[in-house]
Amino acid sequence: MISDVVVIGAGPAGLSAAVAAAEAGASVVVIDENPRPGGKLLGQLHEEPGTGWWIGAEISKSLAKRAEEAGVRILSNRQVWNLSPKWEVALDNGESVCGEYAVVATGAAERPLPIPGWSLPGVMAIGAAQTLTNYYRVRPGDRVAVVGMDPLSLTVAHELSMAGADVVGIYLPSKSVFAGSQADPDRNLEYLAGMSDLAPNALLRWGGRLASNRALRNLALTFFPTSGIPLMGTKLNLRKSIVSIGGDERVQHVEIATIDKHGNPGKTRTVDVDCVCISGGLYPVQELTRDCELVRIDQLGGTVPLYSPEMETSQSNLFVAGNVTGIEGAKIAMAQGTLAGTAIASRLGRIQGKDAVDQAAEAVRSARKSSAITFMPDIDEGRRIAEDLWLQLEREKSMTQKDESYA
Amino acid sequence: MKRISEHPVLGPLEEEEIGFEFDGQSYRGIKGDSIAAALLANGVRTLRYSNRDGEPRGIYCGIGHCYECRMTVNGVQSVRACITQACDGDVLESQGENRREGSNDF
Amino acid sequence: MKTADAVVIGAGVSGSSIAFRLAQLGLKVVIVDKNGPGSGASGACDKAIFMQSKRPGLHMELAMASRRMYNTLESELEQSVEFESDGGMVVIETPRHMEFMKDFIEKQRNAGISVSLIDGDAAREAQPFLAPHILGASFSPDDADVNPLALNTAFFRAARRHGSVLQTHSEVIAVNTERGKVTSVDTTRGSISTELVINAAGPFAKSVGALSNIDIPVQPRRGTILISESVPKKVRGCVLDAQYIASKHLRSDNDDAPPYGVGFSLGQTVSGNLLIGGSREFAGFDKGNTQDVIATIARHAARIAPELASTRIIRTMTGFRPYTGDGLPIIDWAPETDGYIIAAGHEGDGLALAPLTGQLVADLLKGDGPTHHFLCGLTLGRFATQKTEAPADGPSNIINAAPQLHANA
Repeated sequence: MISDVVVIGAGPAGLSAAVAAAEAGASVVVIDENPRPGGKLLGQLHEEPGTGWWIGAEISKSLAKRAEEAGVRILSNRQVWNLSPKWEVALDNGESVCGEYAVVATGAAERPLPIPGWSLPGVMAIGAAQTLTNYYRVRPGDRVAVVGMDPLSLTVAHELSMAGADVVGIYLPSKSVFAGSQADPDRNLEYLAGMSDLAPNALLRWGGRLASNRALRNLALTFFPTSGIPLMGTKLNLRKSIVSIGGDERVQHVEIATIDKHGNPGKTRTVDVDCVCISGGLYPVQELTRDCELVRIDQLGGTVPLYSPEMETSQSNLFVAGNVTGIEGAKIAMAQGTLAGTAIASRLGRIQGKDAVDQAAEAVRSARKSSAITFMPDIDEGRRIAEDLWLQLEREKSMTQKDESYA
Repeated sequence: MKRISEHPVLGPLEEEEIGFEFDGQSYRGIKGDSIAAALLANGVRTLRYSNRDGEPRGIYCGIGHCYECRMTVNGVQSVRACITQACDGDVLESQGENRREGSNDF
Repeated sequence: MKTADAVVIGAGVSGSSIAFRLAQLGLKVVIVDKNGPGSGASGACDKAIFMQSKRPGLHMELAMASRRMYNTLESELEQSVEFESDGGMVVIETPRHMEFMKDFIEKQRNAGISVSLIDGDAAREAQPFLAPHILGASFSPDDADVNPLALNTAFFRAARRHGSVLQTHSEVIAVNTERGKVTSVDTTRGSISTELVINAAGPFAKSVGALSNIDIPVQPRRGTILISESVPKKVRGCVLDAQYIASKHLRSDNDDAPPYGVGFSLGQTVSGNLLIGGSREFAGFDKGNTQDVIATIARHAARIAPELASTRIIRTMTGFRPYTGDGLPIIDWAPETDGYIIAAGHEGDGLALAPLTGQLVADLLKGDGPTHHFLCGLTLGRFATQKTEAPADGPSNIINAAPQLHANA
């Protein structure tokens, strides 16, 4: 199968890239291993400030419909075996899809956060719980403990409550090499304070005043109620951690320790639950970008490809969009996808002039500015580092070319 | 039992039912379910048994990444239950050579 | 400008082994790579250290010397490289191959390899996945396994402990000389002042050599491997088929040979994934158009190990072996350029020879040492009279040109 553009990943970024390129007249094939397009957007459900409910399943559906109306071929249920230059995607049915341009929009995966007992059925990643609850409409459990405090875990805890689950609490992971600073109450409070417009208003009202100042934050931790503070139907427990998960063949209980303000455990008690959701944070998935210039930028969530202002990687005609470039929300992923698709359409000669590309680039910036949820607190710094490294790469390349012309 | 039929934000649930079999037992699901979701809605958490110790395993990542939910679907081995749609008439089997005795799920 | 006693070009298993040995000698080494460790052939290969497939003579002697170094390598590098000496098997499918293998095994024994012929039932008992039609196999306890990425990392880390520096994403654009002596190396990320440069760029050694007008007859020989999901432990050591070994000598047997130089190789990683190989073709540096190759590898593998037909493949990888034409690497000083060492062209033996490669370069530099006597067989000069060209693809040509028994052995 041959097309102008082959997109890997039918999440918000991939679909948006496909729509932008196809609406400009390019032939586009999208490949995805899930049964339905939408990626992690399918399970998203939260209230946006001012605009009402963000229902990921509906947005996915309309994006996919728009793509199909523009002539995009979406190949679902297809696993990618390999991506090779100029650009050929090998599929698990023995076929391949070739495109002059490729867009890698493989998104993110969750960092594992091992806790003794975490392999028991009933323990799952927070994102799995989200999709089950909001998309498949199946409660992951009746009594649920959530481990890890971040925008995703707080959002999903709320969604679980809305779906009728009893969320017994949100806890810190216990101290370990895996948990790192995620087990540190001080770091968590600082992190929570940085999430400006996110839904956990109760906490922010309570902590916002204190958390911005280090000395006061210390005070806040000392006086943080050991019973936790009520938050949207559950309890936020900055002074409790989950030490282990137990049960016979399935989750039946968790052992919860009261911790001091440095995260050191004290007394423990057992709480009955039938589900534990672990949130270890997201990292960009780089399985298909190994030939690109990659760099680890912790502010973006892990290792990411360097990319041009138009989303092209160091491999010519290979573009990226969405969480593969760093952990951000779906709206930003969509804007990045539109930028990549528009830039490709322009390179294909389907769009004249630079205006459309410039507008799409501006749309990414404004999406970032107006974003209600910031997953990575230092995302702006991370993007700046990535941009600087790209410019450095470009400079080195142009110097190399100059050298060659003198030779 | 775990199906969310009432939801304060989302609309009514799709009603079209499907029937399938898992390890010899019959279950009902809803059209559009992933295999993993359909089984969980029936209270089935254990999807396979680990290769090393025969320990039970269930849904973990939900995005096809961890391979903990793979099972045999209509004779095809190692299909990821979390990203595969359940279809009417499916015959599903858990995998795991060292499956522990007496581990009967729900 | 940065300075170094030595610049190693290429951070694969060979380059990092060289960097380690030179750093051990007290040299300040900078390794440069156009991508990073394991981004080339060392990250696209299987895990076998095959001894019984080597040609008697220098090829075998090098492999045996390197294999001995593996016995103590993990303690020397202070890191696990998932080295396992579970032995290796070459499975035999036809009576004609059986006749040939009997003769071949005799030669291998005379060369000092411990190898025995077992019948089909014994082969299936050792490796229960083998098909009923397998007539027998040769088994050698000297064959072993290693994780190439762990090996690459371990060498690099050991080199770093001795003060070496790695510069990734630095493609070499010039090796500068003054009056015939190396003075510096220019990369896309700056220049390094040095009087010694080691070209360990594997399949890219030719193009790196061309920057200095040094003709290094190394060509890319493409190989593809399939990677399966993690499955319960089922493969002991590493397994090949006898087809190449036999067909090299039995030309009339070639009709059966699958296209793309496909032969069977199978290994299992510590985490349970199967590495199913493999192909050997001349296709330039093109990584694409591998779908038919993948299908051919899969069909061939499923004939020998039928249960592979239902095993889920999760990835394929394609890389380029550095092919010299006679199955041996080039470890030599470049002519007419002082301070330029070539250490490339291991084809499918990069892993088997990795520990030795560093030592060979160190001994070349010192003009003495435990491996110095090998170097007279690894010169660049041996190609001066015969020009090696990549043969056109096709079963008979591949076999005629095959200096080795198996691609990744």
